Amino acid sequence: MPLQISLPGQEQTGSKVVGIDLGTTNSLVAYVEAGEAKVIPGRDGGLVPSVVTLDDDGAVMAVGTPAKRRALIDAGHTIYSVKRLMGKSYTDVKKDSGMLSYALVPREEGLVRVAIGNREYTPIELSSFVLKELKERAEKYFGEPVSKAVITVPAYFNDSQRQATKDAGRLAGLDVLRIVNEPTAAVLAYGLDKKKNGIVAIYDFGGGTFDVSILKLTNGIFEVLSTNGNTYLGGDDIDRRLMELFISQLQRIEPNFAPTAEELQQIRQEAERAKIALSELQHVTVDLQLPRLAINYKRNVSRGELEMLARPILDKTKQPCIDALADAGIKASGIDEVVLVGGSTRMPIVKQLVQELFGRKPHDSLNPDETVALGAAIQASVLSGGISEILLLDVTPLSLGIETIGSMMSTIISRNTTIPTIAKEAYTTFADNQTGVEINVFQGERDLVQDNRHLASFTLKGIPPLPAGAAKVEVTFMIDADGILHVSALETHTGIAQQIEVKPSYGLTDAEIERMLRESILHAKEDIAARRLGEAKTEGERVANATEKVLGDIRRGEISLSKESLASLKVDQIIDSLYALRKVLSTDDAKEIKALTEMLEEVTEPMAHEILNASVSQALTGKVLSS
Amino acid sequence: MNDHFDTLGISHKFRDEDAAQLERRFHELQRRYHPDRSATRGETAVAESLEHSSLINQAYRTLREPMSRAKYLLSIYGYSVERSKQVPMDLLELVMNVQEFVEQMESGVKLGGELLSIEQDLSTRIAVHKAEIDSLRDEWDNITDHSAPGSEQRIEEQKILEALTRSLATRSYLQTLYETLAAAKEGKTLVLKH
Repeated sequence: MPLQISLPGQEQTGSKVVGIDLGTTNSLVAYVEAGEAKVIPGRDGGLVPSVVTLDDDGAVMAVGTPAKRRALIDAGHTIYSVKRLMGKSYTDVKKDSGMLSYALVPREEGLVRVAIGNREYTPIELSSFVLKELKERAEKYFGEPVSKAVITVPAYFNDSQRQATKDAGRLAGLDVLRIVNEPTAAVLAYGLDKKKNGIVAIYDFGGGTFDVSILKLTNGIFEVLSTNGNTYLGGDDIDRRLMELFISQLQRIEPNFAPTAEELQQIRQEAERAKIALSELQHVTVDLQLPRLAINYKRNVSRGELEMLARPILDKTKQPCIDALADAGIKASGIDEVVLVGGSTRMPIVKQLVQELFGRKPHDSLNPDETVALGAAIQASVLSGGISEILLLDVTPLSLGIETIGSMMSTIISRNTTIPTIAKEAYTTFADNQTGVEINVFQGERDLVQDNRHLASFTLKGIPPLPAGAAKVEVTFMIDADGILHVSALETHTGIAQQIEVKPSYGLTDAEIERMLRESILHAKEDIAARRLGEAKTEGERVANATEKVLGDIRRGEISLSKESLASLKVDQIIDSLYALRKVLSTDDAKEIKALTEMLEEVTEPMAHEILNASVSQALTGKVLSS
Repeated sequence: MNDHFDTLGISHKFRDEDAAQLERRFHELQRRYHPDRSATRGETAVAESLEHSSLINQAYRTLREPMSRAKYLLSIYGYSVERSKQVPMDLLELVMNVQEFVEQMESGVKLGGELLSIEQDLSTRIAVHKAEIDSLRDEWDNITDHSAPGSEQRIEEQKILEALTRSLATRSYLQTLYETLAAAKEGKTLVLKH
């Protein structure tokens, strides 16, 4: 065997840097190969639904498509749209908790937590499970470990939300080289091969967040002039309106109808499906079969009806666009191109609204699902020394300030300042021998601190005991290229760097992250076992449910088979296998569940065949047959 | 100690001969010093480039906009526009008139011709100062061998910078008066609507 020698400059194993789009609905991982950005595919395409199923004790049962399926049968353990919770408190999000099929912990202060089984989770941990899945997907693709990544966030994410995303990466075992703003990443993917110059506006409307950014492209320099948005506005809100409509109509049929978590999931996924279909079709049939109520709710939804529900949500994207233009000092007519990003921009009404706003037809030929991940991959390549001709100059989306007398916000770094950026403030003591100073840092545009977002309290410690006003501490606030704040302090007489204790308001301390990291390593083995069990259970339930449905249909005569074919089916054997599978499904024996699922599939094969032959295949296709 | 002009490698002038020069320098320097360029070179290199890149950003932000550039240039030569903002003696009467009008408007008195004429007066004065500022800036920019900031300036340099500081302070004061008057007018229309 030849010796492995790595030469300087040669690519080393494990040195690949990937780009990750951690989305509200779907996530992707991409990579630049031979100068071209590509999405890394899995078995089921590039998109990984940002959905996770955990068991009662915190082991990961399923991530992505299997988890999305699992949501229909185990909603309380299955978490989706977690990005909407990043950097938020329970108070921030409780108004929407009624439409969630998982439980939030009703504790007012600090970062919101989700209750699953016997444990509570921060959105940071939940996001890390999705990131881990993407990491593994990339590792499988390359056949080597991947430990470095660029992760995208909505441009309008505040410091806590950015830090939360970076921490999630850390928990997933990733060294996050850069947090990149989604619209900016999209422009990288848009502008890379075109080598365009000019002013570009990005309208990025995703599953849970809305961003608008104005950029100036000059010979490979991508300079963000301004950004604006709403981190709690997206396609999810449109789904929610549809869900409300369906539920209120179901309640007209069944006045006491209160959906279970699983039913809520079913309604949610059906609403999403209808919305997506209506971007292509004028009408779609919504079909909700709710066995508990013996209701088969069928309803026609027109595009016009959806648009009427969506309009108030879409209207909220207007003001951020107007503000972004004003901050960039540019009129709509000065924009050379408007680029659409995010799955929700597939809706014709969104394109129409953008056209009205900017007075020009938007550029919609990019794949709105993939562009951001591709841009992240490009930035990953820039950071690892691959692509060298381009450079991103981004801005901080929100003004940063400190609390001063009268609870006023004193801005020290204005919004849309190009990052990295540094601001220095001088502090002094107001009492004799005072050795500590507390600094409260906020982000936002309002005059009173209570109307802005509290990021953290910084306590300066170890100031030399001197008469009031004699000690002078110079505090440096730096926003780095990730848009994340770093604070350092220096006592100017002594030149001694001061200790700073940071208490994030809606995040985790370094110690907490460390603890979680240790736990996750300990849990790794259990996770593998739990995931195997999760997959087996989902699959088993699916096969069992489909079999039961077919048997019921045959019994009720909804599927009519000839006597001969019915006799050949060995129904007794099917029922025995079904019963055995049902029994073992409630245990944690993954091996046995798998074996019995396979057995049931085997014995039902002739039945599927017969039904197909009887050309009433509808009920079985996509269910038993697809498994 | 490097100032923002040194950081971007341009001369201590109010305007560049080539309007695109500033942006070009900014891009060149960021291409070299931005943290993205040192991501693979270890923590110390990243920390240094963060600092360097921040300075370049700050310099560009300050010098890109003519007003903040003028104030900054004056400040490094030891002149402060902010500190010269006491009411200039020759404006005293005007200031008192504006104050009186604002008070009248706030108490609901409807003003006609006299308001128009004071607004006219303000606009004219602002225009005069604008022209003066422009020509003083040109005068400075035409000097080929400026004294370095921090060193003693020649008499003709001092004269320009002093006059410019005064004129900028006065114009900024006039601007405030104009805006106060405009705001009071707005307030009045709002009151009438009720």
